[in-house]
Amino acid sequence: MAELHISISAEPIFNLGHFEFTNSMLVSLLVSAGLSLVAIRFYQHLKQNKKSNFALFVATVIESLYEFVQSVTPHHAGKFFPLFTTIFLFVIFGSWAELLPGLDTIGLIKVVNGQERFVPLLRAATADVHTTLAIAIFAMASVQIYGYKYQGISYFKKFFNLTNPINFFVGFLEIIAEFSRLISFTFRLFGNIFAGEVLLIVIAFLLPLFGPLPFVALEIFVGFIQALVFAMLTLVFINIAVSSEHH
Amino acid sequence: MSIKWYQLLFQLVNFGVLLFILNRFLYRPIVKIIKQRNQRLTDSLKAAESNLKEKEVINQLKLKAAEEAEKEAVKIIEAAKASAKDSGKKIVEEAKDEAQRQVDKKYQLMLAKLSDQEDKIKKNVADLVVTTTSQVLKDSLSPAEQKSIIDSQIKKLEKRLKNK
Repeated sequence: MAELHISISAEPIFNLGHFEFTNSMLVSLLVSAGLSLVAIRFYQHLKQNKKSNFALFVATVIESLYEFVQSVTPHHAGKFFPLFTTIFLFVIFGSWAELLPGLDTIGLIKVVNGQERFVPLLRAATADVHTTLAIAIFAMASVQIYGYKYQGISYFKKFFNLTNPINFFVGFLEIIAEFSRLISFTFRLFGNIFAGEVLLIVIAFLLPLFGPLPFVALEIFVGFIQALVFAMLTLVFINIAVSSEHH
Repeated sequence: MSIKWYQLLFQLVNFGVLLFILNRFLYRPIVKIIKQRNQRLTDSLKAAESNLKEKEVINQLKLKAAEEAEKEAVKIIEAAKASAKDSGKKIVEEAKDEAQRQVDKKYQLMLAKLSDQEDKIKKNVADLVVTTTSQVLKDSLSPAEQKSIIDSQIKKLEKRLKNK
């Protein structure tokens, strides 16, 4: 490849009518399929009462995450743990996908507007704003649902309070705060992972072979931290929403 | 960069399905195992606490029993001492009585022997006196005089013996 290929948005690898199937969608599907396979395999081992290293490893990882959730929210750990862990696992593997070999080198040559264009087959799932926005919507919707579930209709009083003009204004600010959380969730993750991907491409272009190695290690760390931050913030927001105090 | 609704919808569905599958096949079984294990731990702790309490009660009972046994032993020893003292006294008294009886018996025996000896001596002396006197006075005194002399001598001898 003679020149650098950097695209801020995910690129379509094939079309189904108007529906464009992008490279980040492929990676999202692969990550989901991989995690689902692990889950089903673990379930089969458990049903067969088979004690394998694989089942032990999976159980240890999931139990560690459960204990982590328990340390943050001891009374609701069982309820919030599935969302926290799914966000963490999907984001970490979706981000680490940028480290897959051939990420920006294996692809298709497509003709767009009469010009031949290289389209990479793989792109980190979280380097697509659609993916990060979808997870953020899931997270923030869960915050509202759990808030309503635990506090009832009084939860929404913090958004719509007509007792006096100041409270009404504060409610308006709360609505803005919720949307700003959604946006910050989306763009923090997208920005970090996309920037990492660009960094790796540029370094691989400038210093091939061993040049990108320290940055690969850095991206492994960034992926882990971003996954933890996303999942942790979701858990904290849910915890605040279910508590009786209004913020 | 623009948001395409179908790509967003695809990612939402993808994440939702993943959440469902992981929850169904991974989280629920593991959480169930963790809860069962925690329950077992709680039960074991409760059982251990109950065992400790039982042990404490048993120890207290043991201590109480030991104290009672000690008191009982002291009582028995005191009773035995008192009984031994009484028995000793009784034995000593019996021994004294027996010794007195033996002494009395011997004394009576000795008195009887003395009386026998006295009688024998008396008889021998009388015979001797009679013999001697009859030899001396065979020809000088009449039988009546001889008899009166002998009787007076016997009486004197009796008096002397009694004075002794």
